[in-house]
Amino acid sequence: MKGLEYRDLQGILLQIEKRLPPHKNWTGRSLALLLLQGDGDLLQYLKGEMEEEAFGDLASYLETLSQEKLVSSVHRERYCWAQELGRKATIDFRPIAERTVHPLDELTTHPLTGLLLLSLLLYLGLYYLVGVFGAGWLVDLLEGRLFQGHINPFLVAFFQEHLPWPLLQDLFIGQYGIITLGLRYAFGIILPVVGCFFLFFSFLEDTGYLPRIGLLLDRLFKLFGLGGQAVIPIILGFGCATMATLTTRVLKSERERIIATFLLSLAVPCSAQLGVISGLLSQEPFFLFLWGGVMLMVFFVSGRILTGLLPGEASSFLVEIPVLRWPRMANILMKTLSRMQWYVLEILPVFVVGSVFIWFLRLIGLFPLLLRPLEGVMGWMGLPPATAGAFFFGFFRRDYGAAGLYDLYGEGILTGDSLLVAAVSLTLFVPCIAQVLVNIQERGLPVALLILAAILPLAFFTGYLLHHILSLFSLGFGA
Amino acid sequence: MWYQRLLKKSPPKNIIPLSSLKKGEEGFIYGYRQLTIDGISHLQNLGLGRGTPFVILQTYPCYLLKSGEERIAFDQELASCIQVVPTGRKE
Repeated sequence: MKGLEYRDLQGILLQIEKRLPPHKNWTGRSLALLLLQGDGDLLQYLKGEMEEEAFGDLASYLETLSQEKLVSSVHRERYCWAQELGRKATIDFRPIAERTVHPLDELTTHPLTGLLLLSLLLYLGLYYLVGVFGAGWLVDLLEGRLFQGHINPFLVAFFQEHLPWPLLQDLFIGQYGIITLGLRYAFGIILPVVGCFFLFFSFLEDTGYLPRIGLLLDRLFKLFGLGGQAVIPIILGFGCATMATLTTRVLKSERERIIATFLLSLAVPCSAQLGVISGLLSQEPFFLFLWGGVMLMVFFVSGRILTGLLPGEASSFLVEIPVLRWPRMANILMKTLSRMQWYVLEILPVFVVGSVFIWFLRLIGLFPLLLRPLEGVMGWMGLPPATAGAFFFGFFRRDYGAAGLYDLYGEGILTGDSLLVAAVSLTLFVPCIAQVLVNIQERGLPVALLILAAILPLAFFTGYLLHHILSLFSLGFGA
Repeated sequence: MWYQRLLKKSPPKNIIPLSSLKKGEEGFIYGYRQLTIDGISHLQNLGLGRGTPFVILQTYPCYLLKSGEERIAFDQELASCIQVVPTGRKE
């Protein structure tokens, strides 16, 4: 391992070290190694710290070196060292015949069986665990029985007795009250759904399955200008699109980052929204299938159009595929619980502020005025005017709006075609406040505003088109 | 310089792009073509440095190769940028 190249590298490192000033925190060797690997930030720092002549000497010495060969040599030495350390520190008790790839590993990466397994996993995880169990059974238990049956009647009676002012009663226990709407939505509808999604996502994470999805979908993603690297931000988007937008930093070009941010804002529903909508539509499974189809179509068509508008090519896909392993339930539960805790801390203030904001708007008589133009758009999509409220909540958080649809469905206001049209256009509708802020931070104000300006008409136009297609071909699914 | 001495060594005659190999074929990495320093660094960080032996596990929808205990997946474009020397076929 330590041949001629190693000795030459040592010589070059010594030459660099000799030219560096002493540093109180870092050794000359670590600085020299960073310089050999082309660390531009360090070079800028040294330029400011060193005298002009000394820095000129260092820079002219570095220029005589071939960076590519040196980077390769440093990597090779480091890799060999790590391998040797690994060999010394581990004992493999498996017989040599068993040290091959596990058959399940092959099945998950094979183009045919891999895609079948992926579909099965998504069906079981998203439809059964999040949809049927989370949004169906758990929501029925928490929202239907606990909140509507016990907590809300108790708190309504309590506030009516101890808070004699109707105006303040309205703030806490009114139609859009902090308790009757904000807390009920947060704990009764959204938390159980999101909890189930986090459980499923943690399971996928801990098994080492996620990079396999990148491998399977890379070619598909290349069709709309994104490489397989973008699979991870897009999948994370199904958890929380705001966090996923932050992870678009891993994409290599600004073009890919813009495309991914746009698709995350438009056609990738977050876990809460996905859970509530899939739970809502799983009552009519064919709707869930149609909703998924429309979402995929919008995703591909808008991605293709954006790829045409933004010149450039998708960057290469390169990822390590870890060995599949059976995860420890304790780790999955701990991860799920800490994510649920983080989620509650994030959404609760938004829901409370949302309720207070709507209460204030109603107080000054502005709420109906703001809803009126939205009601017009609802009519355009063949939706009842009451749906405007759910879209208005959607401005605060995507899941807040989706939970509004849940209420409308429960009250029998949204049925048949209108349920599907509302679910599609609300999923595409504007991203939540947090995501808009992250879009501005990551892509800059002009791009973020352009994304927002494109999404609004696209969401309503898709709803309008879907409504007319369903009517035109007499595909009425009951009313 | 050390690398000038290295360059004087005559290269193997059967250098081909990794994208020409089929499933089950073995080889070792000889070098990289049309890749930036960052691209080369990324490959080397994952253990695909010069001289690394490997076996191809899969070529579609992406290339998947096994080198030591690691399994690394990459696309067709990257596979055509990695120069390899084939050494045979895994039985």
